Amino acid sequence: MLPRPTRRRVFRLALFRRSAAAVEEEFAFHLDMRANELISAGMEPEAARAEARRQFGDLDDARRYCKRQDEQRERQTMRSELMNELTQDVTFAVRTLRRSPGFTLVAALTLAIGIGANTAIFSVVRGILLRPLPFAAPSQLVMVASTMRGQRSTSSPANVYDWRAQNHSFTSMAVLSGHSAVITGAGDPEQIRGLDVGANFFPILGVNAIAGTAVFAPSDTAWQGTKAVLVNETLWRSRFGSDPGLVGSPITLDNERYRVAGIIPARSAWPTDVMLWYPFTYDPADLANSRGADYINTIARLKPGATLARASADMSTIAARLRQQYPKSNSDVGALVVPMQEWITGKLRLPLLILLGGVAFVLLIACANVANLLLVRGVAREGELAVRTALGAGRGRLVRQLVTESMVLSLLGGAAGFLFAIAGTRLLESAAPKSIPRLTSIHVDGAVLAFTLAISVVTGAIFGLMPARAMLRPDISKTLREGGRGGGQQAGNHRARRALVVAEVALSVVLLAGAGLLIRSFTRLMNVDPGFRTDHSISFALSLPEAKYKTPAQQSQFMSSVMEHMRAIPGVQSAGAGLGMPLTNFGFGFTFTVSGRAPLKPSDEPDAEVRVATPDYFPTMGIRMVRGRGFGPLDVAGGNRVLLITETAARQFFPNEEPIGKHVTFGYRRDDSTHLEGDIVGVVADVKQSSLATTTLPQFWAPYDQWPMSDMNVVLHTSRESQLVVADARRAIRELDPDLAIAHVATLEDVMAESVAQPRFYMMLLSAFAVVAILLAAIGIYGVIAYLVGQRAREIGIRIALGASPSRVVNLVVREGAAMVAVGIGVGVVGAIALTQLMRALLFDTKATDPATYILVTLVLATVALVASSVPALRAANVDPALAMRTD
Amino acid sequence: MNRSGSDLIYGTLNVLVLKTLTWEPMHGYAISNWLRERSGGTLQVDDAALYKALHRLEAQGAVDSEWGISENNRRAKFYRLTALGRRQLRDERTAWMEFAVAVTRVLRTA
Repeated sequence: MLPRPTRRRVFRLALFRRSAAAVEEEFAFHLDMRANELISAGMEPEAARAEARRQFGDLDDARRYCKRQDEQRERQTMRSELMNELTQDVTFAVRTLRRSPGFTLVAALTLAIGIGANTAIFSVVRGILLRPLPFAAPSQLVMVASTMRGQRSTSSPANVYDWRAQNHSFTSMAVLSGHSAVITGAGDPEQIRGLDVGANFFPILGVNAIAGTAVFAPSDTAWQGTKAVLVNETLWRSRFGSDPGLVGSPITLDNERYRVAGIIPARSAWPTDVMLWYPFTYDPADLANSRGADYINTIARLKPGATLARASADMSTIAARLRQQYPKSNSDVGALVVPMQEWITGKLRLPLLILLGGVAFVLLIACANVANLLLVRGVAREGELAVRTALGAGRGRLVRQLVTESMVLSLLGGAAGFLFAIAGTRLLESAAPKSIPRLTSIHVDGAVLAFTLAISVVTGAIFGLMPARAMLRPDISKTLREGGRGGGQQAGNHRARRALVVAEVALSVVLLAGAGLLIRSFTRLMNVDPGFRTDHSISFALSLPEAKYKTPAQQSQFMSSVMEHMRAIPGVQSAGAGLGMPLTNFGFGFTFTVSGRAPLKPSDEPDAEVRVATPDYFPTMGIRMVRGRGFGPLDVAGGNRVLLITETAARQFFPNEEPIGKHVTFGYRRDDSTHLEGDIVGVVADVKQSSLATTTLPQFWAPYDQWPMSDMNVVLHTSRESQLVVADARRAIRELDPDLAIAHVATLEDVMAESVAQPRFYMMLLSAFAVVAILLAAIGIYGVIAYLVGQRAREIGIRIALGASPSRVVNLVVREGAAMVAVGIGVGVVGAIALTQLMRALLFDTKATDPATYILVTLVLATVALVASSVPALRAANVDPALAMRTD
Repeated sequence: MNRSGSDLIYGTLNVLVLKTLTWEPMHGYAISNWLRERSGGTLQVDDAALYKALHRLEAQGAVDSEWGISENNRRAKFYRLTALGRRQLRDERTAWMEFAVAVTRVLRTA
């Protein structure tokens, strides 16, 4: 009894537009009818109309009410009808996509890769670079660093105290300085990372304690005051089982008792791996002499309204004043203000942005590919659409259906991409080198996911609509006559398709070139001679608490018994100890004078790094002796003081003379006021200090027994399974002193791998992107060539029938692809040369324009393109001409 | 059943309109006249309230409307009962009857 749906809808739409008019008409009808009735009863027309109105009641109110009701009803109806049609469209789209599972799978997977990879990488970038630090008003937090001849460096306490007193830019400043410790009691001894911090360190960060306080009491920060520490929540949970009574109770660190003043929440711990914060203290009597002893960092909070530029200018003024005041120690010292976020992540910025660029290219290629696939498919469907138009399907409805189909495809890709993103983010998090800060703040980013999804949906919508152009043509019959080939559309579509392939190839070239350069750079890096042997070697850190090993003699004596016990472990061929592992950031630079040379101005005195080692350290590490002798059993305290010099130092400081026999005195003094000095007795080969990539700095070695240190690295050269040796070594040390812990246990191969972990990570990621890019480009090329072959099937059939050899046909088809690929490579190489300039800082010993890389990239892409286009070409060559000509 | 005076009228008007439409589709004017006649003038239905009820019932889906031609050849909006409206009438009529019986019983005992 209700009208059919179509009529009903038209009727409703009309009503909606005229809903106001309809109410007026309805009421007018009523009033007229009533008036007529009254007139026939004998009333005057004028009076009748007034009476009708009176009987009606409040006309305005009814009008308003009825209109509102009508509009509400219409909106509801429209909404439900739209939903209805959407359901229909989606159902239809799903059915269509299921009919061509190959296309759907490739297109959705392509999108998923693009969306997934982008979301994963951007999540990482956002977590590390963009997400604010977990502190109060983090944009006000800065690090104030010294500069030494323009290089960023640590500062001396006296300078920092002056900065603090004289600046006008900061609300407060706090110093920090490393302090590793061995914790004993309640479990095995364990070496953990600590930090000495000024009392206002956590107040500057705006961090509160979970329990107790985050602020040291004045008695804690006084020189030789009460011993107190703040404990990281992580340590509190792992070692103290979240004991609520820990605050206020004593713990043993380096054989001394410390009161736990408070527990710091793990999420606000900084640096994140620091487990203990000690109060930074300094002997006020010694402060004046401390200028030049650079070992602390400084954190500060900008005053509200103070800018970075103003603070920098302020600090420069103070530094200039200190240069004048203390020319001896401060002649080259400047000051620098760096935002804390940049301080933490500054070095990661470039590589991460490059990865982000790389992955954006992957997304572009993915979109180009999907566009391509949709184009090819769209042309194939022009026939179908023309037929449906001819059968009376509304154009709007058809367009909407095509868009729906693209949307469904994009959403399918987006859903899979979301899963990829989760997996990818987890993978990145676990695969990333531990040295990358802030890894814990990485989460899959909803905003990024939405953004990448939007890009792919728009791509889908634009290219999904291409076939709809056929319907907008007035002449459907032409399309029908041409058997659905799209006739007039062909030229335009070919152009679009070719452009897409060219773009894909070009983007792939850029990515491949970037990855190639990183690979080449990494290979070169791995070929750098570190100066020591990495196989069959184990190293660990050993720290002697000064409370127990007070005198150099005690340290020296203990170390020699350690060496003895190490050598006694089965499988250990030699054992040595050195200060600071190679390839880790470590080093003290000191100025020195050479006896017999004219004295220089203090600022012109040469400086070099000094490290300390036991005699057997050199053979154990496989560090080559160049000439002279190494350290021997006679180089002990009280004996003639000796030094070794590295080849680089020898070349730099004794260019035309023999360094052996020269006496060198360093500016550094021990508390007993003896200078670090000695006769050079030998020249040793260089060892790479902070990393393989940095230039080797001049260096001296001093014998351990003459310069004992509390923190040393023990190295063992073994012929036995390293884990067994480590277990034995651990036991041996515990027998010597049950309160000692060994830390940073690693094979030298691990140390080496860790030192190149970051460049390897970037190389692997960018290479992965390049591989994905090439695969996608191959699919794109294949798709287009296969399509073109299909279009030319009749022509090819005729050629074969007329006697063209299969190789000629293959040639013909491949040439078509080769032209596009050549243009793509050309464009890509130009783009790559321009863009890879940005990554120069990441390249080691490799030019961004490295010709070999570009040649290789071109060859790889040409080969891939050849393979991708020869598959359809071979198929074309095997076409049965009779069949091909009959298909239409 | 706790109805205030005005609610009683409101609810009653709905039932009456629905009941009227059980005979045949009608326009508002016809409904107004029909109600006047049947109640013998006892029920003074305000036309404004009637139209408000009609549009409200239409929005609720109890009645449906279509433009048609009136007996004197003018365009008029005809209302008709929907399945939902029929069900609503049944429910409301039962409720009304029970209410009336209850009121009557109370009045008798007094």
